[in-house]
Amino acid sequence: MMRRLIRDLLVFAIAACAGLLVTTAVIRVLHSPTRGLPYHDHFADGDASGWVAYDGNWTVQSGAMVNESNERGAKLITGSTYWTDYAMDADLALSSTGEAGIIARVSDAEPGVDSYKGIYIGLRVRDESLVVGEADYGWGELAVVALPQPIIPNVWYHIHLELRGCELKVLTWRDGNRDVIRLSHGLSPCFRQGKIGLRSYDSGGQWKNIRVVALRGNAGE
Amino acid sequence: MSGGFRLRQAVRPLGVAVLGVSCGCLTALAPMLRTPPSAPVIAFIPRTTGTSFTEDMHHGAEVAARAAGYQIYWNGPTREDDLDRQILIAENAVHRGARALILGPTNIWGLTTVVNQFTARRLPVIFVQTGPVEPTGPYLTSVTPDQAQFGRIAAARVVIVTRGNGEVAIVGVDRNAPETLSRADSFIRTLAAHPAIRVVAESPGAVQIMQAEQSTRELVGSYPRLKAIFAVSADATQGAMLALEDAGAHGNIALIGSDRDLFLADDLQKGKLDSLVTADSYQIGFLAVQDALSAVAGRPLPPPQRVGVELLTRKGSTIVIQRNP
Repeated sequence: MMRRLIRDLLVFAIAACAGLLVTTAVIRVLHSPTRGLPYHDHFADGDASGWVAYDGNWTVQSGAMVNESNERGAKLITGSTYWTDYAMDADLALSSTGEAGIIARVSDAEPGVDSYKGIYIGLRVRDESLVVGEADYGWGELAVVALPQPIIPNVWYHIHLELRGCELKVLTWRDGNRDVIRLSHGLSPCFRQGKIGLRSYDSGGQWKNIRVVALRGNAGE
Repeated sequence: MSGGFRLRQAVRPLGVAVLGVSCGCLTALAPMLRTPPSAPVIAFIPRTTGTSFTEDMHHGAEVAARAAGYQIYWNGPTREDDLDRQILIAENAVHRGARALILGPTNIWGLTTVVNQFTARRLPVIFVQTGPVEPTGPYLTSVTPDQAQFGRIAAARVVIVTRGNGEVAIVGVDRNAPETLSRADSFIRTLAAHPAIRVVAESPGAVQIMQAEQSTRELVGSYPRLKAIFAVSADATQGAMLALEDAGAHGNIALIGSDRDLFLADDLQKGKLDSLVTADSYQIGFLAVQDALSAVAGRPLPPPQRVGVELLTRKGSTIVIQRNP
């Protein structure tokens, strides 16, 4: 009787440890900040099934993701909630006089203008500028850099973004133009992790060549 | 030994192992399943969000809520006329447990049924931006700008810029946005004391910039001696401004706009508008949340409140605020 009890306890302990270890390992893999990275989408195959739309009218056309709606704050989101430090690249073209850009470290997204938590980097026709802001179900503008030349609709611009800890670096330039606009900004406090996305405000737009790579070494550490 | 006993002996360790694995899995998953306690929520659903007017209102609401240990759930449609989306957002917020609802109605007539349903369930509802159609009561009230004062201040400004005579027009009248009717009505009644000023037209386009732009183009074409335009909403102001710029007429026709929204304050600073009549949206947000908190605490909602209006003009590149012009 005693031997059987000891055997059961032993089996239970070994099984519990195994369950704990396997589950922890699975969680680690699923929550890994590098799972799914590097990521790229050229929209060449016409497949946008990995993206989730929150407002807007999004379609893949000729290797680009197009939003034909000029409503305020349309978003298209993909990636992992657990991505932390990464660099993101995108080509984008505005189709009218509002603004368009990319979003990073996105979580809790819902339909609505600023209904997500994350960082927005975009080009704004209104004051011909590169804009960085933070959305947390509300809008907080963090930095604005005037562009040397007016934004031209339907012309491709490149945005490169790096997020390391709470340090943000942005580079942008017009296709075929050597003038690179640089912006560095310390975010404090900041969203630490999240998905990526495309966003437009009061303008339609086109995006292509979306790339995300993990960055090694945390500025905050 | 019987077969049944042998089977039990074989199954028992398996059962213990399954139990052990389950306990191990649950121990690993426990931190993820635990949800931290969160503050009670007041839902604030304006007509749209992401504009300077609504962001100021949001700020005021956050300040009032935080002081009472409440959270604001802030969301709105991406278009000011998207009634269906507004109803969906409001219903979802209430379903998730919002204790009170603050609404900037996209369409007061379209919201009647859903608002009646909420108030019947004793959920406090506070209207901002414009008042409700239904009579107010213990579960329904409003905090809105003094719409009649909008019209009076705009009319006083028109008297100054036209030197008391000439043709003026109104742009942006929309029966789904009753504040535009009140503003236009009060404007006309105030100008009745100045018979040399004639209101020659009232054009639509309250929440559609393009419609207001088109209306203004037609006005400029039809009334070449037009001296001033009173645009009764932010979108109407934006549309009228674009049309006047396009027609090269913004130096000749004074545009008196409404609401410090979109980028209108910047436009005023740049001289694209003559002036802007606006209410303190921070105050509206703050007072609306205070009303909601009072109702959540079991007190009946106060009667509708009106927030004062001010005139913004430009002196050089500085904006001058006149509270009692």
